[in-house]
Amino acid sequence: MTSHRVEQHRRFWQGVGASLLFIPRGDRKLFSTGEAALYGLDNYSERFEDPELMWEGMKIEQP
Amino acid sequence: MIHGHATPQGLFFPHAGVRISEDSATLISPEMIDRVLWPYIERSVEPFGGGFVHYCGKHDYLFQKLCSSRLVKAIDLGNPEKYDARWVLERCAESSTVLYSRIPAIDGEGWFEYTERVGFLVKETGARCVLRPTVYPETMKECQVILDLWHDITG
Repeated sequence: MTSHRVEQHRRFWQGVGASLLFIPRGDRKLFSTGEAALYGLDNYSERFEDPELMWEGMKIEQP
Repeated sequence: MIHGHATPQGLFFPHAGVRISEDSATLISPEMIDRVLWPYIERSVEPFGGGFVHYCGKHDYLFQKLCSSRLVKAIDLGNPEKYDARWVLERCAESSTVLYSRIPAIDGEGWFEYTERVGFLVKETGARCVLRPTVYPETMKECQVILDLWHDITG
């Protein structure tokens, strides 16, 4: 799924294919009311220095 | 590329360059933007091959100036509700600048109607857009519906 998404994004930046839609992750009810934390801060210092860790912590929910 | 600013999703963005925020620029005149700010924006993003620019507030001249730059790859508006969405998308389409932003919903608008309306607006203007919808469903099944709808309309 990740490689499909990367390919979709790669095509988008080449000007090919549909525009992209980013639906917020997490509890949508809480998200819409602003009650949920938008960012997980666990191990943030380590994640800040390591893009792969940051990416893992921010993955989009998959349908 | 991770944008931040209430956008936890990661975005594959090759050759994006560096992300910058220019909120304070909305407080100065077009003349000051040209004379004081612009040289530094160009100097800051050029070594990275370009820039992804965020700013809050409203400044039509700043938006157009950013669109006109070959170094600006994408723009995120912190206050899209202050702009006419069609105007923004047309400026982006003219300049091949990607709009990476929220677009506000109309009062009472549901997620399906919102996705259709904004999708057709993107299609009509010819803009390239990474939309962060302001109304969206709660279930993953419904999310897939609007994702498919969005791709069908804008593709």
